[in-house]
Amino acid sequence: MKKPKKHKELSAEKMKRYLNNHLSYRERHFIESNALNNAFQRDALDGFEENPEVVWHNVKLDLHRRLAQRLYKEKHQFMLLTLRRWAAIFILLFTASTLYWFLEQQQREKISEVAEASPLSEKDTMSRDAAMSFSTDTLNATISAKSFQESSSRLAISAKKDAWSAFVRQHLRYPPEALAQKVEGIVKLRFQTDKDGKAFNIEIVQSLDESCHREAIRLVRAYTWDKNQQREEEIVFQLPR
Amino acid sequence: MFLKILRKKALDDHELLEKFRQSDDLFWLGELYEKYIHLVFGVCLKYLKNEEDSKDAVMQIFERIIPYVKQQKIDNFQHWLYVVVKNHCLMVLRSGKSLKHSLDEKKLEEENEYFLVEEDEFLQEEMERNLQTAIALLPEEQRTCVEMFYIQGKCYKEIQIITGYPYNKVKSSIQNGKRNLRTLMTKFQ
Repeated sequence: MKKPKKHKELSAEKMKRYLNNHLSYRERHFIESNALNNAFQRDALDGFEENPEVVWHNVKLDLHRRLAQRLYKEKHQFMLLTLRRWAAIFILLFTASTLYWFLEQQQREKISEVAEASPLSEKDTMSRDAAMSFSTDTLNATISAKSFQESSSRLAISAKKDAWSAFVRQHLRYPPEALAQKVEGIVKLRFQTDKDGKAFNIEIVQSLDESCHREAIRLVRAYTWDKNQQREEEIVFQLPR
Repeated sequence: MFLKILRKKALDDHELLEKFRQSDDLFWLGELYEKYIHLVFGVCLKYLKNEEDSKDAVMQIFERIIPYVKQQKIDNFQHWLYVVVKNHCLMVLRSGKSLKHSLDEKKLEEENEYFLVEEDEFLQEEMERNLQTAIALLPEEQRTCVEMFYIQGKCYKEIQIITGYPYNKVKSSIQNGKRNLRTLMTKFQ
């Protein structure tokens, strides 16, 4: 048996050009006369000519992929798997960090809202509010992050509160009239703070007497608050015992 | 990539088969199979008449030949592959009936003996002597087509344009004419 000669082979490229009519009559004749002596080529050409809807290019890509998959199945399966695994880990990490960042941002907003709403309320109310907002979230990972956030912001708020209390303790001058009349109680003020943390638009929500709320206003004006806020503060007038 | 192309061109079927047998690395058989994959697919398409079935068949045939390629000595891979493909397609078509198809090369060659004849050379030698007589004996359509194809060197398309016969008619006329010529000339001897 003779080896099939090179020029008698029908390459995929030649076949494609033949089927797409991209060859001269001479070249076509050459392919046809080869195919007449080679049943393999003849049947293959018949197959394509009888099914003109089949596009060899697409078939080739698919077959090549499947064959490659088969050939490298054993050899490279492990490598491919680890590659995929790394990709999955990367995507997971990315998603988790984005989620964490997003939730942290939200948490910050929530806490500042809480702080605005009741800056002087008791610590347990604060943590209850916080706990309520936390309980709505289900992700374990973020809960720990939040509880960290919670405790730290609670500390910050109580520190702020302490600073204000200390400021009041230090600077409160009991109005002589009130002292003489033994007036005791709470003055409640509502005000806004500007970009420098200075109070303005001060309203009296709850008053004791004129001298007391004037003193309260003086203190609120003197203190440097957090910037750009709407606040409500109580100043307790209590006679020394 | 460039190296791969060079290597592919440099190795013929026998070398690729040898490489595969020695290394037991499917890569080499894959290289060899890809050389003929378009023909394998085409034949499958001819018999199964369906793109998806044919694709599956191409992959099944690859799986089927692996053990045989390892064991058997294959003189003419292209021919052997053709027989395997054809048998596989017939088996698929007749699936339902239990058919035992041996891939034993000898047996297959008996079934497809006609293919083993170097038809081209046979024709060229004999044609010189008895050609004119034999051609004259062919039916009208076959004679026209065979003369145009073999003597004037025209392609199917040209013949179709000149004679006005449908494309498939031209094709079958030449194939049948050629077969008839061979029978006729064998008779003359």
